[in-house]
Amino acid sequence: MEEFVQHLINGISLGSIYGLVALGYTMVYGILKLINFAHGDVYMMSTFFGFYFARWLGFAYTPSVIGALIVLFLAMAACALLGFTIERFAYRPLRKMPRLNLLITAIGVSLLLENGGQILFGAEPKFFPELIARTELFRFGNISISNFQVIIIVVSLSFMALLQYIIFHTKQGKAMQAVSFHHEHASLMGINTDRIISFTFVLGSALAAAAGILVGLAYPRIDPLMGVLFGLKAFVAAVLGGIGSIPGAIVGALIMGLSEEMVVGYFSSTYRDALAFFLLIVILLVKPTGLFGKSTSEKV
Amino acid sequence: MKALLDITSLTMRFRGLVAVSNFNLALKKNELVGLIGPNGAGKTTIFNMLTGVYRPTEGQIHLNGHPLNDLKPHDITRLGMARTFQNIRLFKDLSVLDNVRLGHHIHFTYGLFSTALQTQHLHQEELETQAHSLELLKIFDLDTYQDLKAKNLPYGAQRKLEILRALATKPKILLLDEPAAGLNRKETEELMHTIQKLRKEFDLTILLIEHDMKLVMGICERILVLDHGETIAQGTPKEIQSSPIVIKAYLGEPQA
Amino acid sequence: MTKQILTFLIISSLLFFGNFIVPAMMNPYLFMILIYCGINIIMGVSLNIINGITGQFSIGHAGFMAVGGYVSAAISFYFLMPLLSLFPSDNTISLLCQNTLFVFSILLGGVGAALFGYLVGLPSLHLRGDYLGIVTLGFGEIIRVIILNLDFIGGARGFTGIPAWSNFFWVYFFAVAVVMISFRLLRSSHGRALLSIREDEIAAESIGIPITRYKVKAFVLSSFFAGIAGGLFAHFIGYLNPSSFTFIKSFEAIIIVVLGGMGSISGAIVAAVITTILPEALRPLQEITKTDFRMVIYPLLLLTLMLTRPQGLFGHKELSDIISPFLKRKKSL
Repeated sequence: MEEFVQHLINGISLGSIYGLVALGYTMVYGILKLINFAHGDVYMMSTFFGFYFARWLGFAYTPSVIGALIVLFLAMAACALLGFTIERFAYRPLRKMPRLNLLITAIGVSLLLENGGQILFGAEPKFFPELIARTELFRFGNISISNFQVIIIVVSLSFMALLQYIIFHTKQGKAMQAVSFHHEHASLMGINTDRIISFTFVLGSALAAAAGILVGLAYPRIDPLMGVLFGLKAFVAAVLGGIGSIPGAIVGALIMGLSEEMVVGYFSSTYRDALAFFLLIVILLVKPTGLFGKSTSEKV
Repeated sequence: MKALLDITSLTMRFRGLVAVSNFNLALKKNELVGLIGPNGAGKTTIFNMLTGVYRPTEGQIHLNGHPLNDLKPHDITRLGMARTFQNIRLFKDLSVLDNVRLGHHIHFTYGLFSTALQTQHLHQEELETQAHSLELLKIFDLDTYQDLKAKNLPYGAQRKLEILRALATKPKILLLDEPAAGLNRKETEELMHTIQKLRKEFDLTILLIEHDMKLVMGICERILVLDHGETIAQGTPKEIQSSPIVIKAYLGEPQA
Repeated sequence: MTKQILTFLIISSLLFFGNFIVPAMMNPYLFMILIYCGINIIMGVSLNIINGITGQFSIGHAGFMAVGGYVSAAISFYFLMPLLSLFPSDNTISLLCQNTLFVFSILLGGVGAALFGYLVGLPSLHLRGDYLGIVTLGFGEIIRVIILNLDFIGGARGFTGIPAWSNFFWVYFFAVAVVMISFRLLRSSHGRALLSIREDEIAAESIGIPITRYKVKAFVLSSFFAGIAGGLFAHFIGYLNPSSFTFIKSFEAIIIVVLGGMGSISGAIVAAVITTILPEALRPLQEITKTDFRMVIYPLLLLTLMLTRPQGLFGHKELSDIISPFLKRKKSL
């Protein structure tokens, strides 16, 4: 029983991080009907941004919570800028093109970031500086909760709540919803669709960046290809929840995190990555629109 | 005489919104019937149900005794019902000739094997189809444009091409969705003549949706009026024109 | 009919002689590039059938190449080689047998890939565009992961000892066959039906075309050809490893289709040649800088292409469509 609760906590923690990245996938899909292949690599970039910022600002050598926070916000800002740039220069010019072109461009950007990263940062893994020392915060019998897990869950929940507020209670957010329902109609209502789309990318990238820093703190080994598998899992989570649906992304991510943790805990860790593919195929064959997704139909 | 197309109690509900309610029509062979009503009255929805794009919530559709309710659009076309679309759906990047040739597709009998080996069978059928397609194009004087991409045709010509494509399927029933939309008066008059000519030449039964009253009153033998999904009137053009219900709901001044 | 037989004999003879002349004319490195060109032409033209002509999003093509390669390799290794060893080697009859069995093996590899194409395509081809893309991507990866875990075909270590039966003749024989069949398909009513699905599915259905059935057929044909490419590849290198069939390979096939122009067979051929030669042409740069810039240049080139000329080299047209206005002009002079 205690083992189960431990896995539960680990799973929720993992799921929260997946959630931060899944949200980016789902928001961009909702608004552009584009699968942003490069999103996982933005997450990867944030770990490297964090790595270098921590070095340059000296936090790597003198760990502190303030240092971690500053690195977090800097990485989020850097990734927001990265996401903005990608959208502005790679995706926006192609918006009127057939969707396969856009998909291919996204793949191209992803490969560029991965391979460019390998050249810039070197292909060997680096170690994210220990900005916060790992300690055990709570213990109930055999159940151990580390400060990282608490930080991850708290930070993720805060950002998700913030996102929720932005989308449902601000003008920008309502505009985002309008654009995701219908591009042309939204612009007819005076909404600057370009700006809203940029805003969506900025938000998504910032969240992915937060995930990256959290992962860097908890699992310090970083390399330029780490976004591939992680991004895929977050993407599957978004699809599971219903791609385009924000609550779906969060629920899907939690399911993903929990099932991955359970598979590793109760079966074997060799199947941990195969799980994502398995879930993907199952969803797509059974209910491709996901748990919360809605199927849109064309007017004939 | 038994109806060619028998529609009974046809109803379409979209989760609480009733788009069409209790539509009935017994379409006899070679009849030319019109379906009119304000925008959003449900006319195209009926077409969509007849052609299998939507599955009716209630009601039955029978073509020559064949039940159509559960059939897919391509099966319904093979049974002899073809249509055109309100917002033209031509194969834009394909040539005018190819658009019509595609209408013939269901009549081809050669398969992949013949295609790979370029058999006599294939050549024969392709030649026949090409000739037949050009004949169809001649009806609307489009044969000189055979190699032009469909998207480069003027709007009126595109509408006509869509009718030709539907005709190429050799239908028994032709459903025309606003065939005169965007046409000027002269073109509309030509269209009126052509529709009647086509009916005779190809032994067609025609059901059409239109807003152009001159065309509807001019060629339809019978008219049904829809409003908010309900059939509010049925009758000859004269009867409809003088029906107070219709005038109240829809018919204003006839178009100048 | 006789015209066709004549064409077949002429092309076969040319390839037959080429089989002896060409390798003698160039060093093994260039020859290898030539062979890869042929294989990539098959990959590009086959993917073009489903992505370009039918307009569907298949982005896991490498999976079918892998199935074809491994099935064909397994058949050759486990059945055909032992069979052939029963006969005295190094005479014309055994050579004839070897080649016949080789064709058999390649075709069976294609059939295996086609079967997978059917299994993948049937449940997913009614899904909307991007969803189909995800499924094909997922299946491409799953196929690779399954191969990794099958020991009798080498698993992660790879499959060694595949007989080197591929040569210039066979690679280009199949390439020509695939290209010819694709052109004939495109010019037939069935090809037009596929195009109509790309243009407007609802309109295509309204004129009687069973769209899902056609998509599946295109998918199966496309996979069949990819399987043939895989078999030819396996028997050229003599060694197969799942790492040759990652998403990168699928992406290379996509680049070929997009660069050539979606739906253009001639475009796919030209693009296949370009994309085979380009990384090799850039290799000296790699030597000089000691870094593999190719995987950065590739995506950059692709992005530039997307932004400046998204319709690719040929757009929807074929080489004949581009040349004919020139011929007409000449006539009028």
